[in-house]
Order: sequence, then C-alpha cells, then structure tokens
Amino acid sequence: MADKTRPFRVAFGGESFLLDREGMKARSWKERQVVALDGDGLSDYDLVGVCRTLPFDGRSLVVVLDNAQKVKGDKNLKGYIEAKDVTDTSVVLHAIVRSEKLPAVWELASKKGWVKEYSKFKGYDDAGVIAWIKKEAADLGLRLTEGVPNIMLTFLGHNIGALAGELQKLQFLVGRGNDVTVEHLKLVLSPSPQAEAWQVAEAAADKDFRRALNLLSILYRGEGGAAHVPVTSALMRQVEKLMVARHMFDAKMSEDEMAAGLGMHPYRFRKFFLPTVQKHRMPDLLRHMARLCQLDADVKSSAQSRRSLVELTVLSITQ
Amino acid sequence: MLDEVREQDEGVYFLRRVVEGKYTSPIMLLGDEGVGRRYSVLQAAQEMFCSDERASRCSCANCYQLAEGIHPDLMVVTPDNGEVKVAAIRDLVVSARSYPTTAPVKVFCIDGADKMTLASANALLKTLEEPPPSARFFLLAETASKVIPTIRSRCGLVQYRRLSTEFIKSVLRKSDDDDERVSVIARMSEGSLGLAVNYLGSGRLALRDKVLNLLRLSFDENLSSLFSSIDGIEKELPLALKFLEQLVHDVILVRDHSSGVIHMDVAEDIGKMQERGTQVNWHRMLDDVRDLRERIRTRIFLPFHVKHLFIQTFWRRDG
Repeated sequence: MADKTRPFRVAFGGESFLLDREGMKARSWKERQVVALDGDGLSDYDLVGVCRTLPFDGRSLVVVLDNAQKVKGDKNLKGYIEAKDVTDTSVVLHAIVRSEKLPAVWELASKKGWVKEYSKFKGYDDAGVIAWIKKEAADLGLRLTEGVPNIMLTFLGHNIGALAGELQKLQFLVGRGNDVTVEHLKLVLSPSPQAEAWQVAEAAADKDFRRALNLLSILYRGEGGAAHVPVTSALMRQVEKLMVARHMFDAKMSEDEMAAGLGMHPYRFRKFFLPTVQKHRMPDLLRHMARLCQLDADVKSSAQSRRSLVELTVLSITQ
Repeated sequence: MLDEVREQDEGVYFLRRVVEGKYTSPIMLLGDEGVGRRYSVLQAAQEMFCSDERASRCSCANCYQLAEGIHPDLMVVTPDNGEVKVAAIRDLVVSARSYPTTAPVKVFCIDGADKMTLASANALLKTLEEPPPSARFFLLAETASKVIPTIRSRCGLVQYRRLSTEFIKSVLRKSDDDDERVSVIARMSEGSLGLAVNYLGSGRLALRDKVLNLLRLSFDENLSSLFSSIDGIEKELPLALKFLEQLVHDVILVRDHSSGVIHMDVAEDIGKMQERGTQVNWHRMLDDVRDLRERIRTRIFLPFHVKHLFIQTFWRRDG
C-alpha cells in the first residue's frame, strides 16, 4: 500500500479491462472519500476545483478520473501538479488514461507519483498472454498445471477480460493454493473463440483456406454484416504488402533489405512473412488486387450476398 | 450588378428578365463549379434589392447587407456533408411564405440542387410548382440529369458555359505576375474561374508535381516508393486523379498536338514519359482514370484503387 500514499497515480494503455479493474480498485479505497469523475467534457478548472476541496469529515480524498486523456491539461492543471508537494497525500488524484501514449500533463503527474502501463498485447504475442495468465493465476493463489494456460489461450484468445473471468471461476472451483488441471478447466470454460479481420487476411495470404474460412465464419458469427468492410480492408492491406515484398524478392534484394523496406523485424520477416511471400507470384497478386477493387465497390454498395462475395475472394486468394 | 458577369450572355439574359419581373418561375442554372452561377444570382439579387443608384459600389443598406452576406431577404442553401438536407429546405419553404423585409422580393438560391436528398426535393416540389409572388428561386446544379425530373420540369433551365482560358488568365494576372504559372493554372481549371483561383491560392501545382512523380515511379518499377507516395497524398487523391487524367491526356497529345497540352510547364517531362509507354497503354490508362473518377462517389477505398491503376498500367507495359 506504500505506493498509494503518493499524490498522483496514473494508469494508462489500451487494455480496457485492466484499466477498468484499476479504476474499480481505486474507487473501493475505504479510508478515503472517493470522488469519481469522467474526463469527457470535464474542464481542467473543475478538476482542480474538486482536488482542492477537502471533505468536511476530515477524511482524505481520492479523485478517480476516468478517460483522463480527454482532459485538456492546460496551465491550471499543470500548475496544480507542479505545486503539489510529494509528501502531501491529503488528496490523491488517480488518472485512468485510455491511450497507449501518455499525454504530457499525466507524464508530469506520473513523475510525482506512481505510473502503470496496461498495453494491449500484440496480435502475435501469445507468449505475453500466457505469461499474464500465469501471473494472474498466481495472484489468485492458483497453480496451473501444464497445458492449462495454452488451452485457455486457444479457447479465449487475447480477450483478457474473459481470461480473468475464467480464472476467477477456477478459484471458486478449486480454492486458493490448489492445482488447476485440464479437467477443472473443462468444467468451467465457456469457449468463445475470437477472430479478427487481419487474422483472416493472414490465413488467406498463407493459403490456409480451412483456417481462413473458419476464422471468417467466427468473425461473421460475432459481427455479422459489419465484418464485410474490415475483412476487405485487411485483405487489401495484406495483398498490397505481399505485392511490395514479392516485387523486392523478384528484384533479388537481400532479406534484410526486404524486411527494412516493409518496416518489419528481420527475424519476423524471415521466419513468418517470407515463406508466405514465396507462395505468391506477381501476376496472381495483380489479379487479387483487381478482384479486391471490385469487392471493395461491392461491399460498399447494396450488392446481394456480400458475405458470399467476401468468402469467394478469400478462397481465390488461398488458391 | 449583372453587367459584371462575363462570358455568360445566355445566363445574364434570363436573369435580367427575372430582375425586370418578366420571368418569375424558378430557374435552374446548370454548369460546372466556379463558372459564375452563384455570382450571377448574387448580382441579380443586388440589382433587384438596390434602393439607390444601382451601381456596383452602391452604399445603400440593401447593397451593404448583401455584400456582407446578412441580407434578410436572401437565403442561400448549401450542402451539408455533401447533401442538401430536408431541414434546410423546410426552413426555406417557411421563409418563402412570408413577405420580404426590406427588398421588393425574396431571393432563394439552392447551391447544389443536384445534391438534394429525395426528401428535400419532395419538400420543395409544392413551393416550386406555385411560387409565392414575392419569391424568386434559383437552383444551381452541375448537370440537369442529376436533378430529379419533378424538380427539373418545374424550372427554366439555363446552361452556363465554361469560361475562356483568356478570361481566366486575365483575372489571375491581377494576383500573379508569373505568366507561365498563370497559363498552366488557367488551363488546369478547365474553364472554372473558381477552381483557378483555388489552385493558385493553395499551391496545387505541388500536388500536380507529386502526381507526375507517381508516373515516373511506376516506370522506374519502384513499387514500394510508388505505394508510399500514393499513401502520402491520400486525402488529396480525388484532385490528384483529376490532375492524373490531365497529365495522361497531355502524354497522348504532346507529340502531335502540343498546343493542346494543359501542363505545358512540364511538357519536356511529359514528352519523355510518352516515349516510355505505348499509345494504346496511355489510352487505356486514361479510360481507367476516368472510370475510377466516376466511382469515387461510391466511397471506395481510393488509395488501393489508385495503386491498382498504376500497377495495372505498369504491368501492361511489360506485356
């Protein structure tokens, strides 16, 4: 609890679930009077006013500010932060900044207090998610046996909120300090496989038609007709990238040069992207490009059976 | 005053009849943007409203209010987000029912009759059918075919011509001494003084140079730079496509009809480019550019389509 006794606490990043949890934790601070505010539409003047008004009952105050990235951060707020003594903890301002980059005013506040980053896991960072599952389980007093984190990842993907929920269910089932086996997992897990448009595009580019269509079907189940445009855009981006890469490949450029040209890490390029590039030829990519132009116009029109058109395009890329 | 409207004799003739009270039905002024349609309406309004000497620099209250755009008897409706909304037309209809405040008649100008929604057009029908005696209606549209027939049939149609290059040059010379630049911009504007002034004021030649560079990159087989350059002008792509159409047109003309070249300041570059592709390919590219420009309205993802256009031409060249 030592870190709580700083005048400023800043949590930021793109992982909404963890930021929500952080906000909830701050709002349940028992020893202090809690004032919860939303930065959307809140002026700096009003925020500073709240921070300068101590409760009548003599208790200390914690101001929990959600959506803090929407606060302007003018000289009024900056002045308040600069003037605040680090030992003065009568008021704690707890800012939840829902953006990957910390705005200047909260950067300043974090220097006088505590800062924690809750970034969204990258799409390829399965290892990071597994590490998070293990840490979360340890915090709940659970010991996960081998294979459990991987199964959870397979069924729930990168959905941190769902993963946290399943771990809490497991805690109820087995109790703190006990082992969680795959059998326990089967009893509680409600699988909700997730798919994103870029995953469909990657599978299509990799000519893995089963996976591509499976992901596409999951995506349509979740999003319905709203998936047409994102999938088309993702396919366009992927084909464009493949085209540039294949062009460089045909020009006999080195792997490092190609990776640099695409803005990719050389290892990732060599290991994952180059084998995909080698599966395509330039005339085919040009044909895919023409087909995607047509698809783009079709999905934005009132064309019938747009889903079929998207599926056919995905299939044609995988052939 | 109407005497100041140049090169639109037919339009001025009709508007003068309106001013003289000999023609009171709604008039639809057809023509490209920037050829002087709105300017003529404002001049006609001034001629009707002026309570003093009927001169261009008259200082009567009516002329002053018109010049400031605050005259209570003049209402100009313009598109909001690309559409003339029904709310604006309803306001106009209500206003048309009342008598003029200070002028002898009320003038209503709908700048974008071809952008009226179906609801807007229907809301206006009755008023156009039987206009109040003290109201004059002017509808501006690019072409009559884009206006629904029921509106079109209730208006007298007046076609505005494109302005001569010489006239546009004479106007541009007042604000720019560089004769070559003035000539190029006058030709680029394709008879629209409004566009010419806009091009001159906003440095559009730089965008034209970027488009020329795209052609060079496609010939140099520099796919990665070509794609990133297209992404770099993403927001200006509709105008860039217009310039591309003009440039390809110039490439086709440069050898046999050099006097018809629009971008004569870069005629040398255009001549070199002409040698690098076949005439058939340039004609095909011209058709493709025109086709793409037609499709812009369907909200397609333009950068991808432009990339396809270039790569397609570039690929054709290689057979």
